[in-house]
Amino acid sequence: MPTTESSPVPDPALTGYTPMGSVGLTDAERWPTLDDDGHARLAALRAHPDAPVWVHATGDRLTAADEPALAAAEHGPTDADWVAGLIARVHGSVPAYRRAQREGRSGPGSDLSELPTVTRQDLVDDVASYVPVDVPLDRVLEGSSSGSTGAALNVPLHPASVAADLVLLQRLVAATGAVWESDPGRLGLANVIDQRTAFTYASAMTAFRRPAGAPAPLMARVNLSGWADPDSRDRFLVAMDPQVLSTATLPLLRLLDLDLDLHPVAVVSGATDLPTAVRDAVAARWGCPVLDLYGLRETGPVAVSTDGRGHVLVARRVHVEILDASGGPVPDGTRGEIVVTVDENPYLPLLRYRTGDHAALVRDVRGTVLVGLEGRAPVLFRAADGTPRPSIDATQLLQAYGLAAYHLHQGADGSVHLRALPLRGLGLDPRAAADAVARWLGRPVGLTVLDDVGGLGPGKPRRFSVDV
Amino acid sequence: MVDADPARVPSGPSLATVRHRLAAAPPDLFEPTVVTAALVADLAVELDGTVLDAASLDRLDADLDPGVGALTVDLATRRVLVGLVCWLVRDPAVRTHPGVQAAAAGQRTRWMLDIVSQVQVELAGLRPDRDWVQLDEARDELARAFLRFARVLPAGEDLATAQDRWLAVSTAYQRDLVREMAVEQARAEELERALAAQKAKEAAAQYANY
Amino acid sequence: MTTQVLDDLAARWLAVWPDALAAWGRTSRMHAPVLHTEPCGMPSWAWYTTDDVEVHIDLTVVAERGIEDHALAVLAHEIGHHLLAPVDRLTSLKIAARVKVGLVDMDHLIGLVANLWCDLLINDRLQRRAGVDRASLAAAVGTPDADNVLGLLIGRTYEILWELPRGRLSGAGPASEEHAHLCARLVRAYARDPVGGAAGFARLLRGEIDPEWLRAPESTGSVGALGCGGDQGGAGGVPFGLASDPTLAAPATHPALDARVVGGTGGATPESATEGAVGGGGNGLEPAALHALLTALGSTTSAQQVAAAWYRERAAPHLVPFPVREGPTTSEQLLGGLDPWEVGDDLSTIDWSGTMAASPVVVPGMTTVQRAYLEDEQVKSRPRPVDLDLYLDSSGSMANPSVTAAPIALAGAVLALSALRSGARVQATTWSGSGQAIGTEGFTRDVDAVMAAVVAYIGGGTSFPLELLERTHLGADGKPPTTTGPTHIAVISDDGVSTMFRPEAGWRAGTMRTVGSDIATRALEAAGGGGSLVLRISPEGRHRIASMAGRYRAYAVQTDPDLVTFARDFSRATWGGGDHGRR
Repeated sequence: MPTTESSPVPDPALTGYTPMGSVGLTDAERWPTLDDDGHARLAALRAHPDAPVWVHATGDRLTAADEPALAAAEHGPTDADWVAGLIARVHGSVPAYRRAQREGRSGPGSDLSELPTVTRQDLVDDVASYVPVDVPLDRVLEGSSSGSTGAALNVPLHPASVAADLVLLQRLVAATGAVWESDPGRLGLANVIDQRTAFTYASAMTAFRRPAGAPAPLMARVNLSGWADPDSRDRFLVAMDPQVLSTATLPLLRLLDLDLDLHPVAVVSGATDLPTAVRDAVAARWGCPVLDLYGLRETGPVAVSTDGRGHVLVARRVHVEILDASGGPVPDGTRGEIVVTVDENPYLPLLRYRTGDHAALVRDVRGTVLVGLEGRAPVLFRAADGTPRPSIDATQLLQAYGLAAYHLHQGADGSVHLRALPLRGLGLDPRAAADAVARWLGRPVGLTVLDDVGGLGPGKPRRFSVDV
Repeated sequence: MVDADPARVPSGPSLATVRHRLAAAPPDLFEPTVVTAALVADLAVELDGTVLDAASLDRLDADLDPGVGALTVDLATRRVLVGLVCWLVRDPAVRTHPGVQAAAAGQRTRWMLDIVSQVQVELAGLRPDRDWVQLDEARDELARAFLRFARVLPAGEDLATAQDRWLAVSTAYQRDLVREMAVEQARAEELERALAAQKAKEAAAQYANY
Repeated sequence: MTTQVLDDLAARWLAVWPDALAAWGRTSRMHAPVLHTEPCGMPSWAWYTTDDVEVHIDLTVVAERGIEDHALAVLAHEIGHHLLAPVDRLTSLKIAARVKVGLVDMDHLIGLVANLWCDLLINDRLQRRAGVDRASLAAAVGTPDADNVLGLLIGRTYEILWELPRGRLSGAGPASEEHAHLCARLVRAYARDPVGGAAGFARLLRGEIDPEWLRAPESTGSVGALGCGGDQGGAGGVPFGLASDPTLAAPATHPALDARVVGGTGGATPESATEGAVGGGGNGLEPAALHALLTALGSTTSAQQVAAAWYRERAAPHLVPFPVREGPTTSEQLLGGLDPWEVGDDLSTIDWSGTMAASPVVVPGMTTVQRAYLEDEQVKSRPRPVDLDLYLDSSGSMANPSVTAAPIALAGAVLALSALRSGARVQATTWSGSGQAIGTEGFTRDVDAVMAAVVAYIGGGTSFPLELLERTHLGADGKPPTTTGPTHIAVISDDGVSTMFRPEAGWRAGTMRTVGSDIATRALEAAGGGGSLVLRISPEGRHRIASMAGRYRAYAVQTDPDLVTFARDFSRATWGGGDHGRR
């Protein structure tokens, strides 16, 4: 494994980013079904002379027992009434609904519309109330999610449902007519991010659907800012020539700027709005389809847009309603909050989960379509030396310093101000968070300590804003 | 009572009346030699002159008096409960109470047999036999169960209050509630441990960004 | 409200006092309540103080809230705080410590939740067993607002406990029915064990009530307005008995998993119910946790003061016996809080009221309590023992004694307190890098000053304070030594002690720049009481140090417990004298 002295120095609070700080398994446990050849190819990838500093090691954790779930992911749900089945099931196995049944609020025969909605805060407060009591917990994985009010949420994930994302991507890519097949000469997928600090790792995709005997493609999660030497980074990416680039708007723009000799089969973007200009730039540069994937860590993939004209619901056990501010249904074509019912992750079936995102719902030949999806817009701050800094880095910092909610604003003159609501009872000083932001941007940061989330104004507390 | 129209559940004897009657139950009721089926049959005649038909009597015998050799613990318990129900129904303060008369609606034997069967289902096996007459909270539980299955409210209580108080003294309800809550709480703590374990922290490779 | 009306009210309430005492079934030496007829600005109509065993009533609030006719319920309740829960300041803090564990990260609620818990136990006992009508008082005070989720849960719990119609005390707001049932079972299960049930109660609230609501500043006020004002005693010190209780930091068991709560329902077999019930020594409060607890309850005691008290208590079992002391005086005695009565104490000092209130089954030495009386202790003068000049290493490799249990500080406390107890004087110094030393700066019999030095923390480099050693025993700058008699020099350290003999070596040991010093050797001769080096060091390391330490005796200890054991044995040999002590 290559090592270098100049890896980015994480903020002291981000202990999770200590190189290999969260590693606890052997490679055999990471890829229980991977053959010797696969391990050898993976070792070569990890030891590539231009490889980045791998800040993490993780695999897909799949065993033979997961195969039926992955095979099922090759097509959509076959039972049309899965929502009714889910409602019946959770009243026997999910504490929140068992309780509701004991107290006579709902029951196995209730209609979906009779059930209360579930908010992210509900999961933050007590995720255990939403985890079925009858599923063995021996394979729980921690999925962390940053949220609109800033408090981090740890979602229990199952290896099979995480890997089902890959099978879904294969289907979505195939649906565009692009060909994505196992090719030992290339990296199967690169998950590309661009952050100050981030987990990076190399893995083998044993879930990848392929003919018997074909090798499992490799993948890597790489951070464009994670190489000490940019030339090394460029050589690595060109040498690997990833078949699928799975990324988000800002790193995608950076990739385009780098102007490398890449030949992606498809580009998948998620997490933030994908402007049409970026979509067009990708098409112009690489001539490949662009999939804008909408989903949340809590729900997994919900909808995808291949042409910029609405996000079509993916063929999974996912059901979408649009509700108004008072929680009532709105007619098709009317904007409202996206509320998701999903039964894919055995550890977290969700009924009427409020995403905090907004769209209108229409039904046409493509299926159920979310129109005008308003995702979480990325915000770029400007450091003292003029370099742009994406808000995701600030999210990590502010969460690490225990803020319940916050609003970080940069004025037109570059001045930065943090309005912060600290978690009470933890004895944390919001000044430390402001200082961390100051170190991050190289600018002084003003601080207003709030004692009430109301201090952030009505509605969903905006986390970041910049005066242009 | 559950399926009855709530507005029409009549008010019956007071809880104290039933509790006192229980406290005064004759010790004979706990003797294995008592022919419980005969107690029931006699009570039927007494209530409204009903003479149970042969088939009904056979069923009662088979259920409650299969012979001394066949006396299991469960059966002994049920026989005591049936004997106590008969003792309560026989109380003039109960059977002549206007609320009870209204609840029985002219079919007093039917009404009595319903109590006999439901009390067994609800209470059998929950407490040692003699506790039902000796222990305050056990007398409470049996008295409330009796009035509930007799389809009357304890005097001076409305339906909601009677229901709440019943749940507070019901061993079966408390047992089920506590059992479910224990399962859920243990599970929550197990989840916390599972999520904190190193193997969960290492997570798994991600293919897409959300 | 005229003065006359309030005075009449005071007379009426005072007349009820004997009945309120009788509600607890026995006479007590508690004096009459303090009935205030001027507003006190307290958040409630009644409160109590464990420091001086006193009940306070603000009659202006009584009148304002319309509860003039509930004298018995109010007074009997406050008496209950003195006889059932928490009884005294030590138990009060134990309950608070358990509540803190159950609340996990909500220290600001400790006082409120502890008081709610005690109130539940007292009120249930009064209502169900003493025939005191607490329910009517609660109804008269008013039901909680619909958004007061904690108040609703408590109100509903009382309704279940007392078979009251739903809504009588919980109003129209929604309360979690099943958690109220669980809470009711908890109250009955721990009716006589306020400390035992406190963590479960807090755990229940922490788990079931919206954390956002619990964190909101106005929430606590809305709950507090419904009950008594709790213990409003002064901040007080740190009572003896907290630091060495091996159970206070044990994990909290959720009531749903507590066999004591859910047992007897003929089926539930909780798995982890015994968790935390296991005593052992590993679940005591660390100094920082104890300080956080006291701070959360409004105490302004500093972390160092708490740490000093913590080490004093932990050191107590290891100290040399007290020299003979005079018999107790029989002057005016003031009624204090309750202390544990232990086997060997005078039988006549047991406070039977307090004992029976705490537990119906009397186990001498376990459940027995005695009243503390304030009296001056006279120390008899004895022949002059050898003084102690103590040096504790506080370089970066050592733990901060104010945060975690630090064996070196405990060993230092054992030595210093033993010396003080025997009548010796002590100079205690905590040292680290060059010029970094905190200490008593001279010999003293002031326990607080000595302990402050023992728990001090520097955490810098390692350089023994030779200048101080020189000033103390040899004199410097034209001034004479500060010792006034034979003195023992004791150093607790690791191999950093080499800087006592080769000050230039320091942490750069291994380089060639080692310059010897004879100050330590000359100081030892001048001190006239011997010298010891107590070192966490390997046997080989001890040889190396011994070879440079001249007539100092070097002791190697391998483990932390060994260090304390050594300090105890050493103290007995040096300051033990005859065994005339109490134990």
